[in-house]
Amino acid sequence: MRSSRRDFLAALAVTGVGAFAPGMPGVREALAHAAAVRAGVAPARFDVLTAAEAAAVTAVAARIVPTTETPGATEAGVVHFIDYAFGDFAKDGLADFRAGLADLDTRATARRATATPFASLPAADQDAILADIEQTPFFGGLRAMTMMGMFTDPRYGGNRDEVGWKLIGFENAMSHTAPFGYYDAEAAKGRD
Amino acid sequence: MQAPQEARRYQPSDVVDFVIVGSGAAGGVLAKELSTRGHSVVVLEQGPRRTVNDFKHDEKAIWIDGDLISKTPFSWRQKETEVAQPGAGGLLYASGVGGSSVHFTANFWRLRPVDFKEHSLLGDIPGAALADWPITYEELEPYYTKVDWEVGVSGAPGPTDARRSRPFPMPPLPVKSSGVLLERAAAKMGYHAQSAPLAIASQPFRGRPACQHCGFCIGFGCEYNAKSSSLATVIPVAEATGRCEIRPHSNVRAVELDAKGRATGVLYFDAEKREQRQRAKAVILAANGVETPRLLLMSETSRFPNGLANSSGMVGRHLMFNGAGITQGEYEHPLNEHKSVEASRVIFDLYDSDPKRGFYGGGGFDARGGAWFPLLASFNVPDGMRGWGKDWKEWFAHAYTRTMQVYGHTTSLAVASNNVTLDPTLKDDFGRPAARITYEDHPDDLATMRFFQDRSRELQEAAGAARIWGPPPTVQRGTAHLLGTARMGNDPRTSVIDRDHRTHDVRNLFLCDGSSMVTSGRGQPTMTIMALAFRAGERISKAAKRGEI
Ligand SMILES: Cc1cc2nc3c(=O)[nH]c(=O)nc-3n(C[C@H](O)[C@H](O)[C@H](O)COP(=O)(O)OP(=O)(O)OC[C@H]3O[C@@H](n4cnc5c(N)ncnc54)[C@H](O)[C@@H]3O)c2cc1C
Repeated sequence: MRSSRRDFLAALAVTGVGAFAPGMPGVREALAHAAAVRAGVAPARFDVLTAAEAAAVTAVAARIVPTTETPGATEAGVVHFIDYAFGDFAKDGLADFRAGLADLDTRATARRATATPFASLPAADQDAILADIEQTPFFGGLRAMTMMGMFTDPRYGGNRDEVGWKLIGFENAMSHTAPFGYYDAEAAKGRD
Repeated sequence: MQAPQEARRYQPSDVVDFVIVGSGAAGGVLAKELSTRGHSVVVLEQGPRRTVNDFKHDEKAIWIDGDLISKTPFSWRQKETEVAQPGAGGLLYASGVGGSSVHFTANFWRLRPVDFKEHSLLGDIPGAALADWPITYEELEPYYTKVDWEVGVSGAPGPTDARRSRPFPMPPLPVKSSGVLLERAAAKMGYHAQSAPLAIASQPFRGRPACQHCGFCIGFGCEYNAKSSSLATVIPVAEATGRCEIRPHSNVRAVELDAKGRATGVLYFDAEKREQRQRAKAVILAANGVETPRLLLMSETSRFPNGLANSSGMVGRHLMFNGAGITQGEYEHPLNEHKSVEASRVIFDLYDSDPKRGFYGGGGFDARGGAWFPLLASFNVPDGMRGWGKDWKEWFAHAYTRTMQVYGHTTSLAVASNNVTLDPTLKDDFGRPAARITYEDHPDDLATMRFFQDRSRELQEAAGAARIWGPPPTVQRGTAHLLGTARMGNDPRTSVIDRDHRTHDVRNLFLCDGSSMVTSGRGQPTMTIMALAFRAGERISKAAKRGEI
């Protein structure tokens, strides 16, 4: 999947953001939320997700971007972004999303033969379940939401302390100066 | 930028010289040209007026919420025999003062002499309606130069460029790592890489600051006013004349005619959704390649059952997008393509259509980040890689700073069945029929995209990429280039407007925007749209002063 401008919206539909975000959101509410987050009232509780749902989302997000020697979805607070999203631009997708989470628990139970929430399975079992559903709109949507929680502006509740940006080397600055990268720096040396 | 205090306000009942619908790339230039030539002008813009303070580094607001783009519904299908599906494709244009010139990437290529006369050179192409323009490059050249100097373009000439009457007003933006790699690849392949012409100030220009290389160009409004949008450049000049009002939140629904078939003004909905009527001696539609034909089709009356200015049946036809052949390449060292403008070097060696290839088409390349913002980049997963889990995370953490696109921008043929019509069922918030897009790339266009993708791959290889990927081109389902739907021509049977942008059917109705283009060029149409608007403004003003409107 590429992210050229002409295909991006189509790509979103394919990746499944479309599945959760049928309408365009109210940006004003988003900004109000952002202001609250900025003001330090980081959501300590969840507005939309139940505790069990938050645990499931945290578990899935942690398989999509695992914590390794570097921070992952858990440290970025992806679940907080997703909680915000389902109260905001992804509101209309909440029912489908809940159905998807319930399906995860069903699959977890099937693996264990006793009632088992997805979140309490070992990572390897979680990965196996996610591999089975990775082509579904539910997974596509959750992957997309996880990416948003990792990489969008911290004002929306995820990407805490910019851990997502630090992970990949993105510098969110109001200005940069040349040379910007290795090859133009080398070329400039050659020319000088 | 706020409207200056002294900016003129008119009453809808005032009969102004010109009402212009749309304040985008073309509309902004027309407003400036007509008001500075002494005419009274009202520009009606459906979207809001934003200032630089409204623009910010916020990938979600721009690329997920679509903060700047039009939310007008539309439907989409590939063939005229299908039922179009709502929103099934990406029709991307900005709504607001300055139009899509506010959020565009600002790659700013002139057309070349060949673009204006390919039909004469190549003859008919089966399945397409390839035509010559009624004007030549030489006729448009002075207006390209006006855009260079009045709007503001940075660049340096290349070896195969068409003649220009004045040098670029500003030097090129600094070369990026992608540009250095493209130069290296071009040298190996016998091509020539040259500085990318950009509508971005490389140094302070006419009261605007130079680009600060923040990297938030594509899709974003410039927080410095360094991007040469019509909002940052020509619109303030128009307002400073005291003769031009830019009226935001004004959504035009129809052109009105009198019994003699002359336009008397337009009907529009104001910010409170009340219907208003702006009277004018002449009407100019500059609402873009989808909204201009939609407005004409919605302006049908008993006298014009097929829509206004449509005696030819050509309104809405020949929709063109430009194609793309792209690969992504990963390199050993960091490029940091998220910094600075999208593209700093371009290659034009394969610009012309070459019959030896066996199909029509040509294009140009640039090397770029490719909207390489963190979130968008996370959706770009190499072929065959699972896009989640530890391996993907480690790859993305390493590769984010090390990749670039080689983007081949290509021709779209005019095809009559690629068009804008009115959807029979889907309506917008005002109860008006939505635009229905029918679009399937001509087989030669798809062949050209594949050819350019193959060359793109070769360029990445020649530049030393460690990994190259990119899905093969397919029929396009989205676009940011809306072209050709009210084409210019000398023959009223096969075109909608004449060489002066006057509709063949209504003497005081003019159209000027992406819809005027007869061929698509090789991508980056906006330099041409602005040049056409400078030329149209001059010629329409002269006609008005001679009493010929
Ligand atoms: C993300 C992106 C990147 C791009 N990058 C480039 C690039 O690098 N180079 C390039 O050449 N081009 C680029 N483009 C394309 C470029 O923006 C357009 O070609 C150009 O702006 C079209 O000019 P226009 O005057 O035809 O229409 P627009 O600039 O779209 O202006 C039309 C205006 O009319 C208004 N309008 C429409 N209908 C109505 C109505 N009924 N009533 C009142 N107002 C109305 C709209 O709101 C809009 O403001 C890009 C586009 C996008 C979306």
